[in-house]
Amino acid sequence: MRDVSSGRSRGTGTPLSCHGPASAPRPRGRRSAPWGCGVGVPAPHCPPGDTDWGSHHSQGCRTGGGSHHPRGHGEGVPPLLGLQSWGSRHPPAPGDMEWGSHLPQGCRARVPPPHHPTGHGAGALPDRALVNCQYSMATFSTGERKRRPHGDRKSSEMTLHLKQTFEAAILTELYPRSQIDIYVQILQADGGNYCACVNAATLAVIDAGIPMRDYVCASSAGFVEDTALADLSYVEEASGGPQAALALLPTSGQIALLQMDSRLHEDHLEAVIEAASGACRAVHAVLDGVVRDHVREVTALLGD
Amino acid sequence: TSFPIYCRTVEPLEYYRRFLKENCRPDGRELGEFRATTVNIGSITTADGSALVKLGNTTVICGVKAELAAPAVDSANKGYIVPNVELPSLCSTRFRSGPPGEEAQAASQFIADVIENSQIIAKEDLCIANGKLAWVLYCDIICLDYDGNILDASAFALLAALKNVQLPSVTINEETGLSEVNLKQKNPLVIRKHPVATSFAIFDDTLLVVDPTAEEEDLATGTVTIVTDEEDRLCSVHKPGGSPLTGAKLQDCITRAITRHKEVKKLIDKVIKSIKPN
Repeated sequence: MRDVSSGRSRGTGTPLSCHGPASAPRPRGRRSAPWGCGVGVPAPHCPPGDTDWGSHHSQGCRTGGGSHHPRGHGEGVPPLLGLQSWGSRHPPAPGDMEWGSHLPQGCRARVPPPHHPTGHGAGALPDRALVNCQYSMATFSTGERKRRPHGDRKSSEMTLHLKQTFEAAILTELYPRSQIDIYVQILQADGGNYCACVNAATLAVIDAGIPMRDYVCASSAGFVEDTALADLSYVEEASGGPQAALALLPTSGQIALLQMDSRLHEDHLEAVIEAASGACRAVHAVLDGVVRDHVREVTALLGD
Repeated sequence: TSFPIYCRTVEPLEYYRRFLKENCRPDGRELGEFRATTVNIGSITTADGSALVKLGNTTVICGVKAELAAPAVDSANKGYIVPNVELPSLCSTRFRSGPPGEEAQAASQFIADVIENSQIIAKEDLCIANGKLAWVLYCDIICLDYDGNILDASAFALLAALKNVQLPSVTINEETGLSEVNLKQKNPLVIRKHPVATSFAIFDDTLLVVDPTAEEEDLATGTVTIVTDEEDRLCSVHKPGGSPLTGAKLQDCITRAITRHKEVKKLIDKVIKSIKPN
């Protein structure tokens, strides 16, 4: 897993504050472009809550053994993980919020409270909620300026996949004749776009208070030189090897979405899925920790 | 004064007036006080320059991408700056997905005017070879969280992002006529002027509050935005209809805008200095 660092914003009395760019240490030879997940959610009953998570990666980790590979080093190195979170608006005094020193980078998700269906000809479903996703990439998120941030084929496909993933996880029967929107925006793309979106959107849905069967954690995986690799960066994806994206419901171990569009020998499939699942479970641990910390903080504040 | 909290949703204007009578606002600010401002520069590595600005809860990110193009025929020695402000449905439920709405288009035009009027960058500086090659700077400003005062935040984000832009040096090979881009040698943009926007909301035709939140903007009867540069000169006064203002009140706004400019300039300088050279 790529390294994702964690931090929380603190309130401060100074009206103006500033921070330089993220200063996470970057080992030589690694790509320095980080990606991450950002999450913002307005909760229905309190001032719109907004938590952002970002990540930096400083190194890739291999799973599944193998000898020297430029990507990682040492077998059995536990994946370094942490989700960077900052900027919650839940403390009631907005005047003294300070942005943490790491930015929201990568991807941002927002889930407004479930509401009456808007537009979309199809109308409401009588027994469950309609899940409506929107995926968009900022024009500056890729190396080359992206001319069509949404509406093109890739975005539509991504939107559909997100919708299907979350329809599998959200308990839509509890919101008949309503619509749940999930808006996701990629600010910086460095491989694993779908996975970042799923992880961010999971947190957003949890923050919105919409019940889900389980966390949905996603990771990509590939197969290079007889080694299964988890969490591919853009360079690794572009190299053309087989790659798969996996969205997992970690507690039950059920797969919500598995997508692979390349040639891979069936003997290797197990290894690839195993690598991706391992990364998903690691992400789950982080997401869970962050959510629990956040809830602890909020209840402590409300309790005062 | 204690009054029921539901007043805020049932009678928002009355609720608000009670605060204004005491010369303050529901979030505890004074009428002339800005929200906590934070800026973060250079976080998006895929962009040539980027900045994230937070004005309280309003969050705006600006990414600048530079491309090469042929200059226009009638201005052969000028490059282009193309701003665009996006208010996606992500930032607030008030915005529907689809083509850019009125507010986004008005904001884009405002930013384009600020760039033009303030001469923040001389377009001649963007020219590489007269009539053949020039830089195009695409400045995309995306609102990530909408809580009022989008114009100030966008202008600030744009200024900070442009200060962060590093353009690779480009030479034209005399023999082949092709351009050669040297990514290893990067030069920062020359920022001629530093325009800073300050917005006010007008209440009941008389009271002016600076840096309105989304709630305050909805209750206001008018808005004014003043853009000044570092020589205390006016670059732009934007008052789109709304309650009429006396000349004296407008002068007060300009004075406050000049003070705000100094605050913002100090903040930007501090951030630029804190960036470790890489």
